[in-house]
Amino acid sequence: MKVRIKFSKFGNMKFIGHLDTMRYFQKAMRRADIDIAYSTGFSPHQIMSFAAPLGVGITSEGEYLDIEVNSSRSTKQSVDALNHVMVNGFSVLDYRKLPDQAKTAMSIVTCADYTLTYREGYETDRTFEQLSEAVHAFYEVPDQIEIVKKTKKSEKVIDLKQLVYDFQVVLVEGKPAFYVKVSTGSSDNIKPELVLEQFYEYLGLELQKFTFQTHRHDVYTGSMSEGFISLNDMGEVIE
Amino acid sequence: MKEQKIPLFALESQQPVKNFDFLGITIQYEMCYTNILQILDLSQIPLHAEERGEDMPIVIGGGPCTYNPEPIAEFFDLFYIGEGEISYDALFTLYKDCKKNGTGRRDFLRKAARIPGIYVPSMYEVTYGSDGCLASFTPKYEDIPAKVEKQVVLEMSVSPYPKKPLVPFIKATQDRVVLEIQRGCIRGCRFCQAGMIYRPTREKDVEQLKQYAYEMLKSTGHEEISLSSLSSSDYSQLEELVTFLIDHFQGKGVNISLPSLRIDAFSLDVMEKVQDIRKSSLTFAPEAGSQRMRDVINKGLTKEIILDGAGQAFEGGWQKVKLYFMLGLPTETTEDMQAIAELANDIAVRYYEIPKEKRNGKCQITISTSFFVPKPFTPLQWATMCTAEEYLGKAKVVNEAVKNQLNRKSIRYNWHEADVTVLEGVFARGDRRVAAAIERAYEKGALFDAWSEYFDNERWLDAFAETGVDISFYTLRPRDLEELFPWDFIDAGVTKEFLKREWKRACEGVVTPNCRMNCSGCGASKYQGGVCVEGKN
Repeated sequence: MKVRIKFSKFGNMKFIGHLDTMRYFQKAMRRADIDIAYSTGFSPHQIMSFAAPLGVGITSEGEYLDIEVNSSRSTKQSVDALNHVMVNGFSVLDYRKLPDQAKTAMSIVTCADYTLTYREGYETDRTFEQLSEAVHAFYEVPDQIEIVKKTKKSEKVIDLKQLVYDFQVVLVEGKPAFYVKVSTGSSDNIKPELVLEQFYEYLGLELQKFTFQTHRHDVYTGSMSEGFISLNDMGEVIE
Repeated sequence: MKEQKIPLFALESQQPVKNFDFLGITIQYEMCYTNILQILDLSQIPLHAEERGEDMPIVIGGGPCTYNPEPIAEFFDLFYIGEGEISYDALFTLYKDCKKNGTGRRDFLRKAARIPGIYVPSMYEVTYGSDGCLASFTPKYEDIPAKVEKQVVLEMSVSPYPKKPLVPFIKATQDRVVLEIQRGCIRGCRFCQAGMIYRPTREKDVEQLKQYAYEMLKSTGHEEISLSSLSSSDYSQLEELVTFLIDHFQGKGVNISLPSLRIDAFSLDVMEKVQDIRKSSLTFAPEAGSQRMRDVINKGLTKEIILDGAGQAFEGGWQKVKLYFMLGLPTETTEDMQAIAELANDIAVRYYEIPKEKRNGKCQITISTSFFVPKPFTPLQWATMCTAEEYLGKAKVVNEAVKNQLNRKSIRYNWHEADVTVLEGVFARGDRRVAAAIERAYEKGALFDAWSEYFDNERWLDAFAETGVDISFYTLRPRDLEELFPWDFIDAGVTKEFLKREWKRACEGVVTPNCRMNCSGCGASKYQGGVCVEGKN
């Protein structure tokens, strides 16, 4: 049986990288007595895959990992068993059965959304209104936003307009922050920080490192035209 | 951290180390001494114990190197000699009382020095004779014991064991459940410090170990369990324990990692069952090439046993063998060194005796030699060492001998750093005067000296020269049987008389039977535990 687990990552755990998070969950599965399936072959490992690796330093309330189990308790019992063995900073939010033919989360991810708040000592002196106007002019008005994206190997020109599905200024605890919804996955992956870098460049400002605390809300499949679906909504609750 | 003046902090609580009551440091290897200074430095704790004020943590050292703590004595407030289960409660109770009553640091240390196993360097006066040797080592006050007694757990089944050890997020070296099955070793190899200082050999109850294994795998979620002890093959219930682990855990995605075992039918069978990389290499540690040399060090392994074990392994499908030896052992001759290459060749010959259609290509034999460092509380503590050049000359003899073997193409030879060996020798048997050189080397930037890419021998030689500490005094000087050693104030169980007897037998090449065969009266029987009382209850 295929199962999708949704979890959050917060506090100091934001510094635990993707590979270490994977190893953490492998151990947690055994501690919680999840009847996880192992691959066959000479060096068996748990059948487990993550949806979209979260960068170091980013917090999230919408992380996913898919596992295969031989048998399962109910959603509630499983969530409780896992939370019983979690450390402070990881919390299991859901545990749902996937259809047998479901593809792994990793292969179907298309989008994720984030809020970027100004870290202490890095606050902006611009008001919510000033920033909103600027975002409108930068993002809403043009038909295309061509930028040069540098990778380790090459540079390529991409159109941000096609890959950023939403970009707006929001208020978090009365202070301006940014909400972005960006293309995510193996192709056309856009980091939220890239959008802010481009926006700052447009403003004629230099974006200092560590200006923002990035927080991921959720990860989705689907498309802009047909609508995005949260990965969590693809599974059903086990009673 | 230094640049930003961020004091070293604890991983879990993020609290500065200097705000803690105690800072405990395990000292496993001499070449980590400069790292201790770095820890103190980063913590913003004065390097010298005497410079620490009332609000500074009490810096405690423990672990194997504390069996001669003198080269680093001035950097520690106290050392705990022996097994931690025994005296820490008394130490902490005393500390709490002192805090409550407003007793100062110095008075606390003086009281602590009376707790069994606690060594407070500042409570002892050291003098040296005109020959440079230690002349006296005496307590400064009447209420301070002249001898510090090693602490030993005698009731293994009631002593606490960490059933919920910390599970790190990062991939640490021991990323597995470690199950200690026994302490001590019955073998009595004369170069081996662990084999002497952890006496008497004490086994743990097999039923309890099964329970621990289950609980620890459950509480940690680890995917691997390994057994820990010296000479695990001597654990009398090993077969039962290993069979239990395989039967209960192997099907559940748990790897069972084996300690070094004597090669026999049982261990080969077990390895066949549990090894995840099939037919990886087998390791033998004959330690010396010739039988004469092995008798000197009391390594009870014969050529027949080695060839027989290798033969069984080859027939079971293994083709890689690793061999570990030491060079620079007392009474060593050129023939003894050449015998290393010859033994490797004999093993290769054994491999090619297997019919061609049954073997799997060539065999690969890797010889590694390290240079012998005499350690305190071993029968070889009186041995003299060599210069770095002489050590390399010995490695060259082996290398030449390997080239002259018929099966040279199946044999590879590696040898260790000689410069590091010399320094290890100084720290292993050094006295309080060596501390100045360690501190100077640290000031000159020595750090992570156990890592060859960071080790800079020139820096160390300069540090010794500038502080006037003579390396050869500690390494090349012959030691008289009656010499007072810097570590003689520790009562480690084995008596100096026993060690002297063993040193003489070593020089004569006479072997001493292991503890189960015959008691040699080492002194550890005074604890009345473990192998000393086996079968006598």
